[in-house]
Amino acid sequence: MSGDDLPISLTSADIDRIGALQGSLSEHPAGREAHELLVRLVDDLDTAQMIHRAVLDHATELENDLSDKNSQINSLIDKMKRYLSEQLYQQIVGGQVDTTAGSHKRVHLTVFFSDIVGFTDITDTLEPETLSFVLNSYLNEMARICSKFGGAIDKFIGDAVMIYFGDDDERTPQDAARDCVNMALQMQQSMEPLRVKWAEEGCRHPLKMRIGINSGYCTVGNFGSDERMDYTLIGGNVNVAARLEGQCPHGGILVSETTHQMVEEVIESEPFGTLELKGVSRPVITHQVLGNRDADPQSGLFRDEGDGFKLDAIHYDPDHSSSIELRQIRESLEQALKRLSD
Amino acid sequence: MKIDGDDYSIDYDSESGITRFSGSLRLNGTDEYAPIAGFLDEAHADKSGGPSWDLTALEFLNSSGINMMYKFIIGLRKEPGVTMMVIGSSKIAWQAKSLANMKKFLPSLELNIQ
Repeated sequence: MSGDDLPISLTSADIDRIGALQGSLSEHPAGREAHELLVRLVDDLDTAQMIHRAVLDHATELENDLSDKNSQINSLIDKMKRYLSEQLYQQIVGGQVDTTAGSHKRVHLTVFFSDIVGFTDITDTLEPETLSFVLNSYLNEMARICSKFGGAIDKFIGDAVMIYFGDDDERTPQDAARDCVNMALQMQQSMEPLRVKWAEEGCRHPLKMRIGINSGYCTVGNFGSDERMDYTLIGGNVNVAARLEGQCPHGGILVSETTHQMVEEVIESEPFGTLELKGVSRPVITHQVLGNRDADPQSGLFRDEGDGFKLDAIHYDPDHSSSIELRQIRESLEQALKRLSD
Repeated sequence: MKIDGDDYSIDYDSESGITRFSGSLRLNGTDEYAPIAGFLDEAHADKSGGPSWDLTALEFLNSSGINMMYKFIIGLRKEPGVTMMVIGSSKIAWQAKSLANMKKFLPSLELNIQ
């Protein structure tokens, strides 16, 4: 009996043994009948055994095929993850997404737009490999920081990044706004190490990031055709965030009054004026973010190194340096002078 | 004669004598397959010679389904001289091994994998 067989102990050897016994029973009609019945029974058991093995083969084939298809699906899902926002990925993989065009909802979000000032101008002056390194290292770092704060990357368009917070049930709108602004601060802080890395690779342009943030109700859902659609957000509040980015000082973070009111307890900022924004019917009161009230004082350009210290490169441009940069430069220099005079 | 399920269809063409299976057969157990077994018996009774099954469009067949088919084929052993033809597809993974096993139950079965 092989491992695939049914647990039947009666074998054809047993039937032969019964045949041998038949001699002594042949004079008795009941003995012959018993033998014939046993032969039929063993035939039936043989057939049942064959069906069992064949069905087992079939089931194994289906299971193996299923396993192969599962591997293919997992590989596809893994690749798909790189092209989708975390939210959309979870919805599709979790089977909760309605993929019909037109399905949408109104949600309170904090929307973030950023780009690198003058990036388009340098695309013609850099070698493709350097350009690719600069862009990929930049987007990788931004995506890493976004993931750390739980934002959803809506899209990358060249060097521009669109992120939103709040399309989940886990955070209050205030928490979403706070996480978004803290993310933006950390992104600005990450630019200096990136600039050092880019310079080593041959890109010596002092590239700076500008950021616009706004909070409010947006329409989230599938927009596009039945063949090709995009899970994204639309609405006046999205436009405000995009326009704030365009007005933002280089290296700065510009937020609307709505966002400011939601984060002012934890985020320090200064008024930036009331702006007329293209496509927005009413003037928008704006604030430039200076930093987190609880921030580590050593998170700027000054770095403590035991008995000494290190100052990161300072780029000051009176026309374009943002309030964050001015504050960082001032505080870092003050820290350095204090250390030298101690 | 025809049986239409949610995901499958079984169609007996009395002119050609071919029973065509298509879709995905995933019924639960012998009880749910009983109407199909009855349908195959009727088709067999209608056609002289032996049954012909075209499985080239049957994408999926679960274990209860193959069990029902094997039992039908074993039943043909009681009919001396009966011939049966099964047409399968090499593009459907499960058919390669499971259809070959049909010949073990009825050595005279003619298997045509396309």
